[in-house]
Amino acid sequence: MTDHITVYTARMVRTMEPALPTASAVAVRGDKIIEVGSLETIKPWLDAHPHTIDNRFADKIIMPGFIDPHLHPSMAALLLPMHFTTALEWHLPWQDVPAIRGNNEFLARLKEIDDDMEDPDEPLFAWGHHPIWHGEVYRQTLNGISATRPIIVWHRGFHTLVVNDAAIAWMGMDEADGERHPQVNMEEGRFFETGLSLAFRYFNHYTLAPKWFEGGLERLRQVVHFGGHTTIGDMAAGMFDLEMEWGALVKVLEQEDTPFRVQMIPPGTPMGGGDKDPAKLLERTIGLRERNTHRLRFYDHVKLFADGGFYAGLMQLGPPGAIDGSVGEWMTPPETFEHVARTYWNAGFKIHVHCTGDLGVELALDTLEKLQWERPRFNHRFTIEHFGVSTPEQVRRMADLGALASVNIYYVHELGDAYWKNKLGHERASQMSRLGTLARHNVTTALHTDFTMAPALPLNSAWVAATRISEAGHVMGPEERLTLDQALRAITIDAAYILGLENEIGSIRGGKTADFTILEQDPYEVGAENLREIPIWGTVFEGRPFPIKHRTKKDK
Amino acid sequence: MIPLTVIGGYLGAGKTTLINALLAGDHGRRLAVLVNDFGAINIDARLIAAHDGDTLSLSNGCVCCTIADALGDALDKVLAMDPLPDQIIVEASGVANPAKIAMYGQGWPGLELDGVVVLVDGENIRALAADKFVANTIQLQLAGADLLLLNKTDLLTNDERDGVTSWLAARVAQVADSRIIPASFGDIPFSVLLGSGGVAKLGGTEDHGAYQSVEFRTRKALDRAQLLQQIANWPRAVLRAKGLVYLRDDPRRAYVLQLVGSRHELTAGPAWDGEVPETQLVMIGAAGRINPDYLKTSLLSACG
Repeated sequence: MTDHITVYTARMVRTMEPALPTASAVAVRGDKIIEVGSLETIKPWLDAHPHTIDNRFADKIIMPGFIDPHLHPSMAALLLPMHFTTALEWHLPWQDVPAIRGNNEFLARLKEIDDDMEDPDEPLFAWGHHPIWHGEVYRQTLNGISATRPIIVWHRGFHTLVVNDAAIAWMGMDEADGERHPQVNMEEGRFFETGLSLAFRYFNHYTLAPKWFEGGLERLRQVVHFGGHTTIGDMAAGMFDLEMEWGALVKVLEQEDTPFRVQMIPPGTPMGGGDKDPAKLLERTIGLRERNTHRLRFYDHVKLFADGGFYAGLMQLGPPGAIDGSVGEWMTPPETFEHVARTYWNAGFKIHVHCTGDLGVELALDTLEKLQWERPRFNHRFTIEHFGVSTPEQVRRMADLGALASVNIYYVHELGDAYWKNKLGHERASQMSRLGTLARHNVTTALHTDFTMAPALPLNSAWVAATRISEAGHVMGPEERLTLDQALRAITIDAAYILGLENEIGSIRGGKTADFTILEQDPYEVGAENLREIPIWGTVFEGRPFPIKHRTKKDK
Repeated sequence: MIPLTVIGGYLGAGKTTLINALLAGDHGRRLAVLVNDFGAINIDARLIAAHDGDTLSLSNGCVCCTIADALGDALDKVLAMDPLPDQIIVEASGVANPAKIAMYGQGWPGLELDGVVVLVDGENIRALAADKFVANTIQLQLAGADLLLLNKTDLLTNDERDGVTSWLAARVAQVADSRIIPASFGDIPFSVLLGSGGVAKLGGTEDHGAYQSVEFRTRKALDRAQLLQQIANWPRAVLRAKGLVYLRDDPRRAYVLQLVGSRHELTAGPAWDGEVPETQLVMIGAAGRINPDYLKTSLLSACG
């Protein structure tokens, strides 16, 4: 059967190759594309080899398999077993989470979840609370939901937890420890910032246990397929505990019916610091490749960190700083950053740098410029990740230095209004994730979700990129929009380039891997405004079709 | 409760030198020192009793561990050791806000906060405080200190030293100049750095040319409000104070007074339980800058 060819016909094949942008048929042999074109143009292959014409996609659109180069399976594994109670809607394979707005509505939803749970002792973890939309909740409020079931409500931005009496009893923590902690308020049942570590001390046995973590990874597997991905990047592989995570990833994801691959990009240094000796860093990072499987692959990409988290408001801002005067954090001291970057640069690695504020971008670019001076490299793929706040001049400098961008565009949708009003003001908030400027300077740009920071739905990301519509309905910085075509490139061929896989995936042409995303509507026909509404039939991964099992209306 | 001391400061301030000195030092205390990077620890091999992955055990009873991925996990590991250490030292990363790490000492089971010592690179601090990347980080570190150790003073002329000292004092408004402790190679007595060790270990503090200790005892009960008011008025040359206090409003149990630089606390301690209640305090300060008679009179006036 190895020389047997399957020809998928389609209403339209959108190849994302400018040399042949549209086609009506694509021939696949094994896991590879043989030729794309029409039944007429590919006829010589069919005359020469046994083949089947498969018309199952005859009324559908074939696109290259979608790629999210930056998300976090382990973070998702921790979060996905929780109940989503968010102010913005989420579409998950097992549930459409409606937008919850208002304090009463939030509490009513918790009560509903409590009523639906079968085991009366099972802890209820709810993620997504945000005081702007849901008002405050306290220990007493949660006691009103249940006096017996442990309830843990986690903030959308991850920095605060609120628990009820039953949760404190279940945790088995001494109330006195909480009472003396400056970032725990026992009366309100609230743990924040460093107080969270105290709470997780009592949760870890539960949320990092195989039952929870592997269950969460199984859900992640469904989420990735549901979004139409065929490739994702784990952009800080081993963020909690490499060996535990790797074991679970292999067990859950390295399965015949997993329709995607995961490019593993490890942190350049252990997350909490650790040995900075260049030889040891390289030995450890390179050594990770020995464990690769078919779908899970470490390679010559590495992740470094500049400034703090964007949702947590810890980005490093240049002048004029934040409205409230708050200051950000560095995740790596600038001198250490340079030292570690030099180690990987000189060893030929492709370096991805987490940068959320313009000062973070500045550190990355200053370092890149210095490294270019010391040891010039071409095609180095130094990539700025996230790109929350930046300046137009930095984009020009990125172009000069050959840097690339992988952008979280959802910041504009979810945080655009909040950061306009509370942190950055309108000028900078409306220009967060400045995709238009990147496009004008021909900086190759991917879109990512940093899932669970944003929904892992590439068409949703492309919709925000091409419209810049905020959750409140404002168009934020129209000059920074991408065109529809640019937005779709950013979830296919340009995302492949960011991951260094553009010769294998990201577009449909003869010789590439047969990874497709099958759509019910043509994005170029429905237009930017309707991108996120396009139904996805499923995917083809390495030549094998994987339909998405859509829920019936009754499912919860 | 095991006291936790945080040692902070930007890269190059001398944290590692200080930690090496603490680990190998002759202070009679079993310290557990948590560090970010093992590679920089440089201990005489003859002192190393065992090296097990991320833990280094020394023949003097001290241990050194890497923080690895999570400080909480590292603390729990130390708290599971047998025997327990007398004191835990956490080395904050060069960009950490040490005041945040101090919160682990204020709520982690089994720990209590001793204090936050921030090292300052006397030669470079002014440049760092104006650096485009780390100016805010430096300001947070200075503001979070209970004691500021102005290090590398051996590299400065007297004029430069005075200049940076007054600059530092002005920069950190709540810290007056005498809580800025000048040092080179982190060389200050352990009693200043770590406290007198244990509750009211009278007579156990060493004198070190530039520092002196003052002991105070009385069997008269002290008035809580007056005591706190007196302490608030103490000269800033008092760097540390620790001991038991016999309070009039709660005569059945001892209270523990702990003062580290700019911060002090009075917390409920054990019941006297048959012992004759007695206030027993040790104050440590810059020699010649603290007046033993003044401090004793101040404390006696709280008995009024």
